[in-house]
Amino acid sequence: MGPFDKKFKKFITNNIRVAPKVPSVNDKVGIDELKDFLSSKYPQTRKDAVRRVVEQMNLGKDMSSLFPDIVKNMGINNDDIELKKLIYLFIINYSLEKPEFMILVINSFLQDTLSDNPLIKCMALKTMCMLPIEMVLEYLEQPITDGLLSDNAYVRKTSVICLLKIYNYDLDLFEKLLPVFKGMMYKEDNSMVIGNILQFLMEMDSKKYLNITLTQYVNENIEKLVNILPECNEWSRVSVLNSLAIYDNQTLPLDPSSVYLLTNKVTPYLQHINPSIIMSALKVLFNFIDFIKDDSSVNIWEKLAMGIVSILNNPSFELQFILMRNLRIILSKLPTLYSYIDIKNFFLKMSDPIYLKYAKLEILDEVLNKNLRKVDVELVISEYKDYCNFEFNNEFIETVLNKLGDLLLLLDSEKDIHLKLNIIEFLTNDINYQNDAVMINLCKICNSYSRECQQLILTWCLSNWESLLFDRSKAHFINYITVLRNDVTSFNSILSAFIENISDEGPETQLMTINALIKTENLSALKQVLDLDVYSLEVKEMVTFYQRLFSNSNPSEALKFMNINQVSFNDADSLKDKIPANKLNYWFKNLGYLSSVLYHESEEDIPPRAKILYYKNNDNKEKIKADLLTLNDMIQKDSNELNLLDFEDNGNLQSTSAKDSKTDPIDDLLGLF
Amino acid sequence: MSSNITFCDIKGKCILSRKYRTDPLITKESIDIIPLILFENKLGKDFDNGFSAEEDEFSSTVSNPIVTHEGIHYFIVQYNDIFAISLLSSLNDEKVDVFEQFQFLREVCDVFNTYLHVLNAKNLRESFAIAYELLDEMCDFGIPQISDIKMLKNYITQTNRKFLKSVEKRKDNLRPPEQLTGAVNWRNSGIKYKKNEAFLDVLEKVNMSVDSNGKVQKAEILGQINIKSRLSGMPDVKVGLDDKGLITGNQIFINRQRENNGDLHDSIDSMDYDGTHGNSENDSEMILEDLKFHQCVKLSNYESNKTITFIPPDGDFTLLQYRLKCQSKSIKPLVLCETQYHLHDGSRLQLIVRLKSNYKKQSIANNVTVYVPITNEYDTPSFKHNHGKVKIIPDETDSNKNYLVWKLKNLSGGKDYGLVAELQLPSTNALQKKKNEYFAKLPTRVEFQIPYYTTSGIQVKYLKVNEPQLGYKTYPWVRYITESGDNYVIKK
Repeated sequence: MGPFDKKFKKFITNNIRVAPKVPSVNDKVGIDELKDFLSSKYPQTRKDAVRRVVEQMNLGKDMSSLFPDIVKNMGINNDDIELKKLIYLFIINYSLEKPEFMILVINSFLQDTLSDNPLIKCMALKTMCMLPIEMVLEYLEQPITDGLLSDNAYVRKTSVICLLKIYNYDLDLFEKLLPVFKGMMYKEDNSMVIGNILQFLMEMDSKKYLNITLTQYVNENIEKLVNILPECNEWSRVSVLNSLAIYDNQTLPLDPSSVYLLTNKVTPYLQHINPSIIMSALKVLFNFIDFIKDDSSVNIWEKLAMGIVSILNNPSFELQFILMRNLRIILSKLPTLYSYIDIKNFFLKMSDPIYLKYAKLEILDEVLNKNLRKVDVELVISEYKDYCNFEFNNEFIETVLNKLGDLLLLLDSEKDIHLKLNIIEFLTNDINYQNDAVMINLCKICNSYSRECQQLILTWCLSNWESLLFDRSKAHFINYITVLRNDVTSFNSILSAFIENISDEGPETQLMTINALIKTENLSALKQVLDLDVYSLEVKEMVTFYQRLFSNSNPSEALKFMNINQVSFNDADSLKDKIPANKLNYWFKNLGYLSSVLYHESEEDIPPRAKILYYKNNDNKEKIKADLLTLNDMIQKDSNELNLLDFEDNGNLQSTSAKDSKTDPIDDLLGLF
Repeated sequence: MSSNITFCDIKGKCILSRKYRTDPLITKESIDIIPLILFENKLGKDFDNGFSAEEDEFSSTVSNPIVTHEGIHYFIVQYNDIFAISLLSSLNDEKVDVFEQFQFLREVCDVFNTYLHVLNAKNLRESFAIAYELLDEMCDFGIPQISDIKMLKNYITQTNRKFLKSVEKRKDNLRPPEQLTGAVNWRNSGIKYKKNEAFLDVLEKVNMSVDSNGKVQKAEILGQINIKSRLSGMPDVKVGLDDKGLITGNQIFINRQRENNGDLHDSIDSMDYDGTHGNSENDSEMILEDLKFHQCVKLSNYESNKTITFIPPDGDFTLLQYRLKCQSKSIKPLVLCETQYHLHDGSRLQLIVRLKSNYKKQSIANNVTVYVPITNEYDTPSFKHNHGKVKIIPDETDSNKNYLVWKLKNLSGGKDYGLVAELQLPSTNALQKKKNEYFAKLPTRVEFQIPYYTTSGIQVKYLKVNEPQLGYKTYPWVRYITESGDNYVIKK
């Protein structure tokens, strides 16, 4: 056989499909069949089979019984990275279920960590650190140490994250590795590795383990961090900026020259194309805003506003939405910014998703409320009108109408009268199916002093009240005509119409009808109405109270007393609610983080059950105890808050609680599970 | 940081899911429940009356990008027919940069889109292996690492590797490149071209809303400069713009002037605002509201002396994006379209559309398309017109809405064309009348492209390339184009 023939034969065996074909996705294939394919003598068949198995696993089918067969393929073709990835993926998925098989793979892993190709080396490291199994963990010390000290930045940046993974699984090993990390942490000058080191410091309790807080680290390395910014890739830049953003300048103030340097180096990133970099840069500047000297050549406010506007015009609706939520906090904290951001940036676009539209309305509301005199109100009104015209979602139109109503309440000075008329004319100009919302908003301003407005409103209300559908709007209407009963000639007939149907009305309307009778001092009708037995529970209480008043005192005195005890609307008024200062500060510090987006308070909203589960897994016993104590308190305070039965059902807790054998009052509670 | 990134199809069924952290709260059930999470809010929405229930136009979008359920936060991004979701337990609230998460999800989708040619459920299912490989490389332990597509392509390849026979070659190819962690982490070293060229496209999209009298209410220009670089080595590039100081001028100085609102001409005569439109106003015509640069641009240079310098990535990229706000009095609509909507007794609808081109006679606009929203209930439409084609197409998101579409291949400047359309309306109940009246209020949208023209007048003055080692000659090519944006509308 000549050399050519040899080559030819090899070519055929490797490349042309004489090898049995593994059925494609659409055909059914049994586990046994796959097993055969996996031990086929043709490499290509085996690879296809591995791929097929992972695919099935991906679809949620249980493939764990193939573990040994898959693992056999590991050592075969060491250079095929794709095959390796597939096998690793399989191992990550099933290692927890089949820890006994890990002995089969550990050697291949260790061999890979010695590879001189950083990609293979890191893949093995990454995968091993994903497996919280003792057998794997005991082999990890050397590879990670080597990795942290490697010449290759790619290996180092992966190893830093590996250490963070270890922190979550095995504190003993973590503490063993710490000295190595400490050694490299200060020497490091590659931007990407530094990015990960900062992530690492942000996530772990650096005070306890490294004897240094993030703030201290940043303080010692401020120059390096700032100078490294230009050469960072996008994500390490976010990390660096974020670590500067949470720098605690109160406890460890930077000297003014450093702040100056930092501001100068960070502001250019407000013009970066990646919005999360802009946001992080904004956060840094907000963090130092009190320490930045507003020198005349660089107007920091203008720059900040430009950054904000830039995100507001980003094509990603989600980011716009998040910023809108945060903007409320930013603007309450730094009202100076109001005058730098053009209100047009908050106007809705037709293509905005609905959540963004609502968020924008909120901000518009905020701006109008805080900064009415500097805003072109007429422009806003015409925008609002457009929204009512071009939008189909009734719920949304209603919200806009409410905003217009709020605006009517806000505009109280005499010179705004044309604006008011503008709004009222629009409202009374028949908007599709929104009579109820219009009625509520018009009736809210019943105390308006201007005759012109009043006349317009009155005419509209009187001609449209019969089409009202909802309880709330009818109640508002009755209240309105009661106030203006001297101007309404048909007042009595309208009221009697309501009294006639009082059994069909909702509670608010019923109350308002009674209230109207009290105000007009129509005793006979009032008594009649009170004696009816048509009221729901909430109204009944009031009715009984009135009836007692009548029976115990003379009618005129009773009426006088009732008049004092006015019924009023408890509208949830989002417009006026203020964010408490302590929350505001907390959120302002956490801009861009979930708590500030959802307006949550850090850990308060987490179900305690979840917390315990979490800490259990992390072996974080001290925290568990603290939480169990609070949990105990909660149980005492409010037994409804927690469903203890739910705990009993949970097998997870049962198994782990056995570990904790100290005598402790909490153990009684632990014993429960 | 995130605990899990999951990709779902349009129904919320999981296609692939990459676990980054072992989190006791996030189990298989948390992923199985995704369909409920995605559509929960939608199903719960009641509508007050029949009319709006028919018009549920939000059925294809997510009602909220952040959903919290059972202590787990779901961050949802929609991309084509895919939902990319990042899961995270609420215990880590304080550690999660939401901006980073969403932006990262977007970039993951963009990278997938390039790797799979188009990111959709079918392609993703087929190429799940490469997707996992990418997810593994782009993000480690939930912390974003790399998203630069040009770098990733160097060592994560999609081509079937069995044909790369030589072991040595493969080892070279599949290493993470040195530059990945280096200072210029967007360009490989050792790039070589026979002919060194750079293609610049200045693309401007005009968004405008015009009232019925042809007066501009709002106008903005979204511009960007795209570059396709085919340059060898590590070139230092400098771009010079002729932009009347908008971008490369002293921005703060201009803003100051704007604030003072005083006599602008006396103080800055070097900046000439009498631009392309001829009618000079006392105030500046355009204001730069937003300017964003690509990762490669040396921002500190721009900050200090307003020069745009950079080492370009190889191939296509967007160098910068800008947004200009135009004073409504100083800008004329390029294409004007007047629509008269006559509803006769509710049984017949007559539309008269007049299309006017407002630019120089030498210029030609391509693909001019007029969209007039109309009802979906009509019959026997008849059209009278001399130019272009007319047809009626349904709206993609709203089944009640149709568009009367008038399309012209090209339209030269200073022309005035007309179209009369008549539609019979079948029945006339109050609801339908309301609907037609609603459509009568909707604005007309126009699309067009005008090559060799920028509305802002921004032009590229020069492109200097300096490659210290190779010292080659370059050939820059520049193209200009103005387009209508998504929001070029004319009210009736």
